[in-house]
Amino acid sequence: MATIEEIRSEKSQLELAGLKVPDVVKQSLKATAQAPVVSHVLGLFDAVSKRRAAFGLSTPPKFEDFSREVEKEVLTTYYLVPGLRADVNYTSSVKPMFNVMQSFAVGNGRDNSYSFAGIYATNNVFLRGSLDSERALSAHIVGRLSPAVVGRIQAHSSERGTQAVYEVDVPFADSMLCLRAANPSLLDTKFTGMSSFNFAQSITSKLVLGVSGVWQRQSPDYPAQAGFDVGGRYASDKFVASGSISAQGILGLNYLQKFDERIQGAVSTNIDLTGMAAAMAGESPDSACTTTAAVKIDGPDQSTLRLQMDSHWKLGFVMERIVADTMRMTIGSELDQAKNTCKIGLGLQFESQSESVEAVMREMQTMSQEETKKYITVPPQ
Amino acid sequence: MAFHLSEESKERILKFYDISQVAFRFGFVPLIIFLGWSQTYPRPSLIRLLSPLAMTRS
Repeated sequence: MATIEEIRSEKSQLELAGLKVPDVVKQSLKATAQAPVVSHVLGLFDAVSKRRAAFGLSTPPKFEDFSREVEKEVLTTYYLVPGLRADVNYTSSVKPMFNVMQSFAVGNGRDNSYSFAGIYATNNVFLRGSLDSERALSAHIVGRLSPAVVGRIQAHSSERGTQAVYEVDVPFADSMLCLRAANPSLLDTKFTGMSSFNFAQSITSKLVLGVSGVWQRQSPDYPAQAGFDVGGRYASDKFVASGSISAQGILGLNYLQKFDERIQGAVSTNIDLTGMAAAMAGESPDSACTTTAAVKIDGPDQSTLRLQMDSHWKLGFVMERIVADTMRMTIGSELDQAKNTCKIGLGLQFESQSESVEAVMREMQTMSQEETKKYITVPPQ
Repeated sequence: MAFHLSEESKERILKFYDISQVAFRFGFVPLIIFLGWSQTYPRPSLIRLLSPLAMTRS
């Protein structure tokens, strides 16, 4: 957290974010800043920055991560993989981080039966690539453009073509800006693709408000579309509440309650106010509104149990458990009472390390937290 | 914002794009393996990296 003096003096918001500004630019900015009108505006900006710094706010999460704790941690949806699945994971080195993973899957109708993935990461770069048996690649490239600003490319390439998403995250002292472009192309006389921004601003130490805007044109023959989403998040030590409304009229409300160190409960409601999304998916208007209640229980031996039920009488559970030193098992099931269908999934994860990694791990057990930082990689995410 | 490219140069760009796409698709994972293999010490044996049976043995 920067002091008021730092913001007022030579340090601009850009420098707080860790961006390097060349001297030439600095000098020309200085000259511009002394012009009468500009100096007046800058004075105002200074005053606002001063007030903002005085609140002592911290950098908020990204707008799209407002409901992350509910959707990615408590609900079973993210963890349930139908069919049989086995992952073999081999960690060859911790610094730089080097991992290979091979996955075998059958009977889920979605994932491919075999995939090979590799991860290589240092403190500045993170590379992840996975090639599957249908010769499709998903690649994830993350790099630090400065100590704070993170750039990201996510690409999926198969015989049908390549989709790529480019992202930049710019954290400020009390706000977070994320810019994104998906499949940008200038070849067809007009710009096609999708570009969006999202911005989150801390209002108090607990309340964060966010806005996101999308502009897209899929093909030069069609008109461009634009839309805005707005949302908010209130997080305290005991609970996290978040809500957002999108331009398509979808209202999402999420609530997470921490009952205990080990027990968390969550309720998530999605309401399609216009009913358009359900109509387009060919579903009945009843499914325009869904409420899901879920509980996550962490067991003493690193096992986790997630239970879930939604307003369409869909029941689900996922259990994760360490069976042996190197093996983790995931069992999950989903029962849809209304459609009378059932999905069941069993996953096994085998973990192994090279001798050097084992030696480092053993050494790290006797170290303080500060010392272990020297031995582990903290890649940009 | 209009970019007027001749048909020929457009074709050339698309061809280059196609080739680079294939190179990226099949080259990215080997690149990661090579980076990891060359940057870590001691260098892991390739058979442990590529064979699932050798991976589980510790």
